[in-house]
Amino acid sequence: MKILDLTISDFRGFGRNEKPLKLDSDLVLFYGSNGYGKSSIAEAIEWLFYGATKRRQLGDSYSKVEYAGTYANVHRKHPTEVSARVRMSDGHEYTLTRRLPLNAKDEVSQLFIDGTPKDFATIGLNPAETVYPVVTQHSLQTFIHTRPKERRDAISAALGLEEVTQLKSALDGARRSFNLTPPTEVTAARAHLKGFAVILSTIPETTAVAARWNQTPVRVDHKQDVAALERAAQKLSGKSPPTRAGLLDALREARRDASKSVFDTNKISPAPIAEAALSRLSNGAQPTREILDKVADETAQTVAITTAAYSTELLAFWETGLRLAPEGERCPMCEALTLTMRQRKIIQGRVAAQQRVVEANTRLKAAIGRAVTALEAIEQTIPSTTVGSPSQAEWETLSRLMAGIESTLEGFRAVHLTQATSGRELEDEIRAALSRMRTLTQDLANPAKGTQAAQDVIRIPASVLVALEKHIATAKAYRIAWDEFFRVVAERIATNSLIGQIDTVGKALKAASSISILAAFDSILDSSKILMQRTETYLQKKQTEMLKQRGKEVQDLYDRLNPGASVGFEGMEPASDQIRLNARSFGVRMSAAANLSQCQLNCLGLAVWIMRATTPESPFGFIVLDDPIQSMDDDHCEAFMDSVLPYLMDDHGKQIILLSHVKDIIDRTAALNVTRAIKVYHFEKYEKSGPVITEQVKLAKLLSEIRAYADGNESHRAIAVDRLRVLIEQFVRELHLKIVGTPAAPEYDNVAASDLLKLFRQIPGTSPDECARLKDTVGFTDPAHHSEVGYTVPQKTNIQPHIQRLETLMRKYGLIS
Amino acid sequence: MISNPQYLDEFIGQQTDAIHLRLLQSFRAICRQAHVPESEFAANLRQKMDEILAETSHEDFGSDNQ
Repeated sequence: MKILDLTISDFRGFGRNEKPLKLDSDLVLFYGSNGYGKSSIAEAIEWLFYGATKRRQLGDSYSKVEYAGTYANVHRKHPTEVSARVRMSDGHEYTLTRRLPLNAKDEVSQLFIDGTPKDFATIGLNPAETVYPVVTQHSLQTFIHTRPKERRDAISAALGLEEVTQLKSALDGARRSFNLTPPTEVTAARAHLKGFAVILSTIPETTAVAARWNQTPVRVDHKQDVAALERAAQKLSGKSPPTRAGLLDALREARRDASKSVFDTNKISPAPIAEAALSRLSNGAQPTREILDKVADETAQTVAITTAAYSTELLAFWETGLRLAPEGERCPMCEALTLTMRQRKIIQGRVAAQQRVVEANTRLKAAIGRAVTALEAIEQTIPSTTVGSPSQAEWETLSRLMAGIESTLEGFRAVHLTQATSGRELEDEIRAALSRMRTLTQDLANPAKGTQAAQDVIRIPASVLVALEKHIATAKAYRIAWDEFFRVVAERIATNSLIGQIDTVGKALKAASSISILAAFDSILDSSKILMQRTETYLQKKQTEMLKQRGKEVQDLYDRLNPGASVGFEGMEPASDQIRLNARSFGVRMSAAANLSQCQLNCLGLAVWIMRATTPESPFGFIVLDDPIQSMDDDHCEAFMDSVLPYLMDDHGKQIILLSHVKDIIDRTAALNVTRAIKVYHFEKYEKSGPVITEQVKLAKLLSEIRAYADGNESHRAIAVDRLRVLIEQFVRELHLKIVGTPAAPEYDNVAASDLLKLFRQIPGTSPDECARLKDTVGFTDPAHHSEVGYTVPQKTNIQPHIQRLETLMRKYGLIS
Repeated sequence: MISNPQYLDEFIGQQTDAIHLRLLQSFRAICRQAHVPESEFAANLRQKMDEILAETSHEDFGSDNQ
């Protein structure tokens, strides 16, 4: 693909512009002073095809903020746009455009082909790093004076291995991050396992596990660690169940047994059903009170009725009997005077009173029955809510366990005593109440006990309730005190070495997920390391293969720039994470970067970049060279122009776009390639709207060629003299066209330069003095002199005044700028 | 920048390890996306490593309380 024309608008140093630069030549030369915008042309071509520039990428690596938005011209008011009409190798022509809209997010640009939004890939244009066609002055040595890895990356990119080198760098960065700041689950798992290391080191089966887990960071061997823990668990539990769950159960059982051998906390712990029992007591307290109150009521009523029956009726009975006795009716049985109608009524009243006594007793017995049932229920519940009482020896064992925190034990013992006492008191109260209930009816019938019995029944409800509530409260307080005390005592019991070992092995076995996480973490780290090694091996193998071929091209290009040098570059050599650049000095090998001159290093950089651009698979039929000969002396410049440029054009068929701030380079290049299609542009000045660029038409080109030939050898200088004569003829004809407005008359066609002097005199504005000077130059170039005896080809110093004379004339009449 | 895809594809074609392939395929996908800075490549691989770790089957034996 070759570039036919290029339009740059609001890009970098270019302002708003719709006029294309014609580039449809084999060689396009741009001359301009520094700061006139030459590099903007090279960067425009880079940006068009790659969407970025090397300069910007380098800048972004320093400060994205500082370089942001710098593709666009600073004065722009329109979208930034670079457009090129190109001719593909199959002859198709397209207009390719990259546009950066105003305020484009992240500077994302748009692509167009012939004005239609379309990716360049749709026409088979996939520009790769390896074929980069733009060689810029600032990038020549970037890969030389850099860290070894960055040099390797740059050369790998030049060879087309960029993705593989990026892979290795990305793997390296990812591994580093993964290792230094692992996921939280990994740090948690490490802390978890490390906590087991001390006790596991005391168990023979797990000493190796402990050694791994005690490292920083913790190391695991999933298979061996789990197997060792299982062996330890089997040994500690004395059982070998087939499943891990079974093994954990066996450990729990072993732990319980071991705990008992230290102190059986069941002796003082609340019964498992204490909570439910207390709840029953609590719920039954008020109903029981009501039942007992009922007994008291019934007792009172019974006593009252009985007393009434016996006292009132009996007294009346006897008074009646006494009163009637003297005058009463005779009894048929005893003939006593007793069965009068009044007596009958009295007897009937007595019977009724007795009946009420019977009924009161029945109610009382029923109330007593309910009270007994309620009290017996309480009596049965009390043991479930009352703690056991350890022996003195057991309290002493606890004292030893709690050594150092005796006050905690003393505080707990006080609560324990209160609870045990309240249980006993409630038990005594209930038993007394039951005893009272069971003999109540009998005692009420007994005048010697009745009064006391009635008083007892009245006292019972309150005393039972008080004892009950006191017991419930102390039981609850004990429960709270126990929970607190158990945490301390369990820890003291657990410090027993056997229990500690059982606990640790059990917990470690249950922490298998932590072992799995760390094993997976290590596995990913190991795996990614292997992948990095494989990447490096692949990279070096490919580099070695490719440098065998492409390295020769670099060497060849370098040698073209440095013909016959005894000191210089001597090949590239792949190594781990770098590519060595070798040099030689009279047969001795040395580092190129450290020992070669700036000029030689520029030659090396140029050779590498040109090697990329000449990659056979490249879709680009052009190469852009932006001031590539900086730091080069005349010989190197001449070698570049005389050898490298023809190599690119002839051996690789490249269209060359060369930009330079050295006018002689442009003129000399033009002169050396007069037989080719050339375009020469000059950057005349730089304005706010961008550079003013003019194409150097025929006269200027001819002048450049003559100047170049004048610098050369004898045969070149002979050509220069001959071309001077051609230039005079051309100058006079163009001056006539410009001043008179018409071409010279036909009679002047095919005439010699000397004959054109007559035409020159006729052109308005020309002076006799100018005519005389022009005549002198015509004479200097007259071929008739060349055959004279003693004629020698003029030296440069003889030719230059004539060149200068013609240039002055052409400038005066505005034929060249 | 558009790169030459030939060599990475060739390298991936030579790998058989499952973890390697997951990392490589993830890398290939992101480095061939447009407008992804190179600095994101390592971050992407790191994320993939985290995912692989998270997917590792964890055996669950309940809490640590005996």
